[in-house]
Amino acid sequence: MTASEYNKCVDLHSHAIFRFAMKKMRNTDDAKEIVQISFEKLWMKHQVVAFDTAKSYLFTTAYHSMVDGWRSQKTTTGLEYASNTVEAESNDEYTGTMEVIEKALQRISDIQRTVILLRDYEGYSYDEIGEITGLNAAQVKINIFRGRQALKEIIGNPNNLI
Amino acid sequence: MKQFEITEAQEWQLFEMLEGNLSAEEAALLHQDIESQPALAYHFNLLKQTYTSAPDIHFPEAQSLKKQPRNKQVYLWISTAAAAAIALLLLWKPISTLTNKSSIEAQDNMVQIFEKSKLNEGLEMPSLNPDNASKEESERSANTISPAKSPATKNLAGNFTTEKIHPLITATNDFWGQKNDSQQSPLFTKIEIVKNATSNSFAQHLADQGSIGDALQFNNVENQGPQILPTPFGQNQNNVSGTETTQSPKAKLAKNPSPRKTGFALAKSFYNDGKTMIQHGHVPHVNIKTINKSHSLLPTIEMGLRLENNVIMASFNQ
Repeated sequence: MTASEYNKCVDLHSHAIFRFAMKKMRNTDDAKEIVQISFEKLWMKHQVVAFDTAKSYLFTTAYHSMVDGWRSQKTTTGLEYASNTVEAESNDEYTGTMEVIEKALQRISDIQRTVILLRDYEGYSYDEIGEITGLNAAQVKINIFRGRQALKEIIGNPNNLI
Repeated sequence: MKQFEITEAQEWQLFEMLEGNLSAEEAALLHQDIESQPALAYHFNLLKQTYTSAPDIHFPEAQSLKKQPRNKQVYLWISTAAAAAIALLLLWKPISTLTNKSSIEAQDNMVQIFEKSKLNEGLEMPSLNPDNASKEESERSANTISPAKSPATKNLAGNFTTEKIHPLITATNDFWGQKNDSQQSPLFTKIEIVKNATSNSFAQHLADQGSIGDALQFNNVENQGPQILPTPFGQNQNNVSGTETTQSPKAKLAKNPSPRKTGFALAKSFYNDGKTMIQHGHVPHVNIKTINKSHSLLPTIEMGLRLENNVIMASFNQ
């Protein structure tokens, strides 16, 4: 991939990566860092990563960076985590059903949220999601199904959010 | 809510339909069931709401992620250092090809030549010295311009003398000595063109370029093919056709006593020679190989040369 193709990738995919990271990390600064890490890694490998596969590479890198960050975040104090979460939530301006779904997404498991976000936001196929997350297509499909089942339960009874 | 309960199989069917995995016929049948069964419709509506669309979120620092292309254009103006570097690059391949040395040795020699040329601002062509002219004349008439005999190739062999040599003349003489290897270098092709050019128009064309004639002269001597002789700087050798074949190099040199060149004159000749080569399509790309003090090869840099508005422009790509 040339430098100009890399720059094109920035234009095409940086917003999607940021959106994906925002939904998973729930923190603007963390999401920015994930985007920067992902593109930095892409640049380091730009001579071997083809332009056509750059999007998948970026999402895979972002996903793994988030998993690593999520693991390390577990070691931070609860107070820090709570303040970050509050900040992220205060930046959201969703109302009605969208707000319920957004909150419900935070209640389902991480892998279910990931596969649903990749499916709904980016329109990835089961195979493509499997490449990013390291699951096979059947596992991806069942996780999407279970995730939607959980979301449906929350939407059907909003008291579950309280 | 018990009246709205459905089986997992029904829920899976709703999911498959919303995912787009059912055929049109299967989807139509399920739609009929949804219309007839309120429980199925209830779950269908809830499940449909779990499908979200991407929110309008933009990464605010996208521009900061972009990188500058690594190909940077460097303008090489006429200066001693820049012109010498260009001449060095243009000569790299012929010398490496023709001296039957390992590439490392050839590169080492070129570095030595370059360093020597840098150290000696007032470079002087040895062949222009009347004292040396007779020696060179005998070497040329015997058509034995071997690397071991010419002053130029003394340098190539690493055996430096006190003579100061124009690197372009050095390389070209040495190259000519290996004329059987014509397929290996574009320089030889150029020489052949000059040799075969009988029309004055072509000679005039070359002369108009003001470059070859500025530093080199092509003569046919006693059916031995063209000889490449150094000529004084600052004196345009406009006549490069075969009409000069009867004039011996020695006589020519006697006619044109050697002026002592300044660093600027040398740089100008480097520039003009390089310019003509590029104009004639020679060496559009050069692989720059450098060695460190321990003779280890550093990564190769590709250099593309082109001419724009009389400025040699180089693009580097690692």
